[in-house]
Formats: sequence, structure tokens, C-alpha cells
Amino acid sequence: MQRLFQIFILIGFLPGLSACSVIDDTLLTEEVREFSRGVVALSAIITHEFSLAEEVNTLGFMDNLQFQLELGGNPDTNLKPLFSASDIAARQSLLTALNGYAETLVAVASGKPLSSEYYKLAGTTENLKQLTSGHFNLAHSLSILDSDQLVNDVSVIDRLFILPERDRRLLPIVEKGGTALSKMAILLYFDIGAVSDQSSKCSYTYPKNELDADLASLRLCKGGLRSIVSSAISFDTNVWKDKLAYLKTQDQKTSRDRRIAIERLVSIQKLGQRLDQLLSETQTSLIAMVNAHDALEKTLKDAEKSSGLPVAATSKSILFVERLRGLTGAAASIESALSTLSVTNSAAQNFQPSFNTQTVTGVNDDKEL
Amino acid sequence: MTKSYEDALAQLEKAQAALNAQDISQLPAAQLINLERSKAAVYGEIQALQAKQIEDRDQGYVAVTDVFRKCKSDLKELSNWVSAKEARDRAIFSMLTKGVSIALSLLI
Repeated sequence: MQRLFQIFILIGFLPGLSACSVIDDTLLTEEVREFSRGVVALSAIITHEFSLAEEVNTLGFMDNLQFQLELGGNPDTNLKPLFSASDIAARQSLLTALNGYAETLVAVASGKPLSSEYYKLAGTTENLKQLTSGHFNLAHSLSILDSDQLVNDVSVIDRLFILPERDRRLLPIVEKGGTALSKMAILLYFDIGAVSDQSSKCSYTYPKNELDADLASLRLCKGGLRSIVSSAISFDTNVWKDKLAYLKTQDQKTSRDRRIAIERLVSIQKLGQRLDQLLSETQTSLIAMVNAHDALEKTLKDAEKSSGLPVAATSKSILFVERLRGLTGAAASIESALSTLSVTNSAAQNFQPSFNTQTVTGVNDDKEL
Repeated sequence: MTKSYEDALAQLEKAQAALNAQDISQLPAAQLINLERSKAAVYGEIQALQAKQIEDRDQGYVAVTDVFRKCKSDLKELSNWVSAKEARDRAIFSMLTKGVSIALSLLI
């Protein structure tokens, strides 16, 4: 609300301030700062989402493991993470570059030396060059050719970090950075993916997507992080469904056991809905980021022509940051709910099986439950 | 016929849906254990395929996780157990049979 209030203040005061270049510069710097804050927050949320996906996978693994042990089974006890260290590192390189770009804009806008930014990004630019489409989850909706092209386009952003002195002005950087930023957003949008097919073509080929078109027009096939999270939620849900069915066969089980199982069954499904909503809104925020960058570019172009700062452009950055604030809160809330489910895991599953709990091999086993 | 990774993922999801649809209340303890272990293995294989960028989606599919490869014996036990039932009893386990058959077809 405070930010929205700032917009109204800006709308009210800008016409009177347009003749004053000092104040315009301040506003411009503030707009760049707002955009940068939004980018950094968005990067943090995406990192957080991959971590939440791993936690959901771990929860399902633990629930299944405990159920198998309660039944007297001999389950595989090795937890397999969803993503390898190199998968995570590739995404981290991309997000670090995105942050680096945003922070470079702030440094240029505020007239600060860029040497510290370059120092921080030295390793990242090298990492960007090493990226391949194989590091990301794109095969569900993109051909190998398009995937490779997208990753190659993204690596162009490293050129912005080694600009000659004469180019260290905001407008040329933003003009060149727009394409790379848009490609990064598309790459992350595809990587987050979809829970179901968004095109009828998905059953036999890739949907037709223009990678230079508006992100809102993209149509994806099932896959990516959203699909992976959905599978993990579904797996855990089915463990609890089976537990409930199993409890029906156990005479000595109390209504309390059933209530706990039902609560867990419902909680995990609600968590899944909230997590998918978060992922979907993250994709929308990627679109908002590109729009805010476009607005920033327009602001800079207009500022070169006149001393005024368009209010509409300013408000896009502020609204972008507002959106991210909501998402950060949602991600923290989901993590808290997930932690609660993990902590109560043991207590909730304290069911005593009624039959022999020694390992059963499956031979001569027609003991009905 | 060799399946592509894309086909294999679709088949694994069909197998998972069928196994999940089976009412487990009629299963004896040992087969319930086999079923839960198989479900975990199918789930792990699905996630491995989803998280992995397949270089060539038309490439011939080979199981990517050890757990799925090793669950062949669990699936066979389930299959043999249902086969040994009277015909009228086998109908109760039609979803189990379907899920097991699809999963086994990927492990041949």
C-alpha cells in the first residue's frame, strides 16, 4: 500500500517537477532501483521454488518410506534429489547474471563505479558461456534447436558487463540488455513449465511459439518445475490415500488415526495448490519484469527527448516490485506449512500395524489385511 | 518395439495412474508392500525423466533409475500373485494388473 501511495504522490507531483532535471534524475534512479529490487526478489523466489520442490519430494519419500516400514517392508532408503548439483548451478548462474544486470543498471544510474560489479560477475560471465540447453528443463515444449538458440541468446548478456567507458550510459545498456533479459525470462518461463498441455499440438509435436513474441502468448506442454511439483504432491497424496484405505482394514484403529490421515491428505493437496499458484504467478512476474524493463527503456528514451519522466513507466516498476512482495510472502508461508508437515511427519504416522512387522518377501503371502 | 523417452514418460504416467486407482483393501500385506515399493519406483523414474533434459526425445528409452530397474521383481510378484487368483477375483485387481503390465513392458 505504501508503494501504491508513492505512485499517487508521483502522479500528483511530476508535472510540476518536470522542468527540474535534478529531481528527474533522482526519480529515474529510483525507478531503476525499483526495477532492480524486483529482479533480485524474483531471482530469490525462483531459487526458493526449486528448494521447495526438493522439500516436497523429500516429504513424499519420507511418508512412503514410513508407510512401507510400518507394513513390514524393506524399502529403498536412499533419497534421490530431483535436481543434480549442476542443474542447480546452471540456474544459479542465470539468476546471478540477471541480478548482476539489474545491479549494474543501478550503479550506472547512480553514477557509481562499476568495478565492484564487474568483480562480482567475473565468474558468472564465464559460467554463462558454459551453459547448454541440457542444463534446463525445456524439452517438454521446445525443440533442441530452439532450446540451444535460447540458451545462446541468453549468454549475450555477458557483453553488457564489459562495456567500454563511453558506453557506460543507461540507455545503450538498457537497449542492448532488453533482448537478453527477455530471453532469460522466456528460458525461466519454460523451465517453470506447465501442469498440463496448453496446446492441442502437444500430443504429437511442439507448440508453435515465437521466441521474440510477447511472453503472455507462449503456449507450453506439460513439463518443467510445475509438473515435477505436481507429481511430487500427487505421490504423497496417494501415500495418504493408501494409508486411509489400509486403516479401514485395521479393526483396532481409532477415529483419531483416521482424522490425522485425512488432515494430512487434505493439507498436502492444499499445499500443492498454493505452490502451483506461486509458480504460476512467478511466470506472470517474469512477464511483468520484461514489461517493466520495456517501460524503463521508454522512460530513458523519452527523458532524452524531454526533461519529463512518464508516470506510466514509473508505475510499472513499482507495480512489478509490489507483485514480488506478495510472492515473497506466499513463498515464506508455503515453506512454513511444509516445515510443519515435515516436523509432524513422525507423529502423524504413528500407526501400529496389526500383523507381523518382519520383512515380508512376497512369497506365500496370502494373509489378507 | 523400442520406446522413446517421451513415450516412456507417458506410459509411466499411465502405469502410475492405474496403480493409484487400485483399491488396496483387498491386498495381502506382502503384495501391499510390493505395490508401495513399485509405486515409489515408478514415481522416481517419472521424476528423473521430467527433471532430465533428454538430448534426443526420439532416442530409445532405457530405465534411468536403479530403483525402477530393480523393482522388476516386485512387479513380477504382483503379476504372478494376481494371475494365480480365480478369474472372478482377478477382476478386482484389474487396475493393478494394468499398471503392473505397463510398468513391466518398460523393463523388458
